[in-house]
Amino acid sequence: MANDAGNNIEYWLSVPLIHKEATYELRKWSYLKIAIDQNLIWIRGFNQADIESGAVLKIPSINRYYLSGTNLIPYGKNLPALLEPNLLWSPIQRGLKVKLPKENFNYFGIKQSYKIALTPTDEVKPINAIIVDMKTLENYIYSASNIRLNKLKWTVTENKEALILGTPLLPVPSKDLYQNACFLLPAGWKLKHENMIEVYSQGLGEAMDYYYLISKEDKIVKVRKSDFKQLSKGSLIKTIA
Amino acid sequence: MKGNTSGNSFYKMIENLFLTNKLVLFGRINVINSEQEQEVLELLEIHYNNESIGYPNIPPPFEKEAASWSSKILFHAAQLVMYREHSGETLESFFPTFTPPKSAAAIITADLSFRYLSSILKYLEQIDIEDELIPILKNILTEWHYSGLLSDNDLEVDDLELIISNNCLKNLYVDRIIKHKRNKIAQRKEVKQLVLTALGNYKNEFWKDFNEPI
Repeated sequence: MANDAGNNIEYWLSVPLIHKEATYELRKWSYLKIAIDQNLIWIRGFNQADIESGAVLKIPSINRYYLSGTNLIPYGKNLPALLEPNLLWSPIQRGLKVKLPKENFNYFGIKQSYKIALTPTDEVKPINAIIVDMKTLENYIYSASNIRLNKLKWTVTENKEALILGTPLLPVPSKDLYQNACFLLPAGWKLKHENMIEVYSQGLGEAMDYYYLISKEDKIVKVRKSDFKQLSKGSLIKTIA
Repeated sequence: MKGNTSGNSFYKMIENLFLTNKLVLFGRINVINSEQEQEVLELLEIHYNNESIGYPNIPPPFEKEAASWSSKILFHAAQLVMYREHSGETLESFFPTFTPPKSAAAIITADLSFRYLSSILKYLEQIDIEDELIPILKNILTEWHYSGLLSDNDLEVDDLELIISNNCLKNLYVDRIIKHKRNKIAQRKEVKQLVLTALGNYKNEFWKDFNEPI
């Protein structure tokens, strides 16, 4: 089948050399090629979506072109502006080198510490734990079908609310939580430094035996895993009594 | 354990069954005297009250007659598996019918003992499929089909009204249908809607093969 005529068009751009830093974001597209011509940086190999993306548009003083035969035509125009320059092309990741700073052996900030904190997020996580008011739970469980309960585990929190783990969730009003490693986090929030989660778990030491329930106010409550019991009417009534 | 129960093999069997879920026979008795029966009744009542706290809705009260009758049937069934020297004629005499009217309380109370009958039945069928005890036990499980739901046999159930009339038993019954995936009974129009309600939105998760259209 014939390709869409627009698919094979190759887009180019040129940037003054003084704005070299601004092009570093384009390294993420490893198929691009880069060349330097006196005061200009040339980058080629864009497709239509790339050339219109924010990563390209935010580079200052760029000129965008597309290649037609050997002519470079400015983006959105119909007449050629210049001929394809004859340059030495190299892959963009080689052309734009990244220099990592050397390790600072004189760094003594070892006593610094920070709190485990939460931050709001739009990411949707599957909810697998809820906190329910005892009275609400009691009303529901009074005539609940066993099949809805026997896969769930529960315990009572400091605030005398029921913390229920497992799915399917109960059809009652609840505060929703999700589990991430040893943490139980409120829905709509995530750990501020999520990539530190392994370090946290190791640092906490007891992560095997406890869940750490973090509230939106960054208050952390430990809940012993062995305190969880299978949810049933009998278990609830004996707890209340 | 009370001192005077040490010689009561009936009591010891039931107690052991409740504690360990294993059937052990402690010697043979053919006739159960009223003292032994009373001891077992107390044990059953404590056990029932403990367990019924967890029943949905309002659990019916302990039903003494059903408890005593059903536990004796369980005891004799277990004994006849191990010690058999009766001819077929006398076998029936160990399994009298339940004369008082059946009630939800009786059904739930009898289940304390009858829930073990299906395992005995299965065991018997492995030993000798022609055993005369098998049809007797099957009859009991068909009549007391709340317990019968635990066995693999097809049940010809006719009186679902009694089950549905009690909210507690109704929920227990539906739970058991779902847990043991008794599709045939679940398709009965009396309980089908109840099963669907219990499964709610999670039909695929709990019971994938349950087919919805009637």
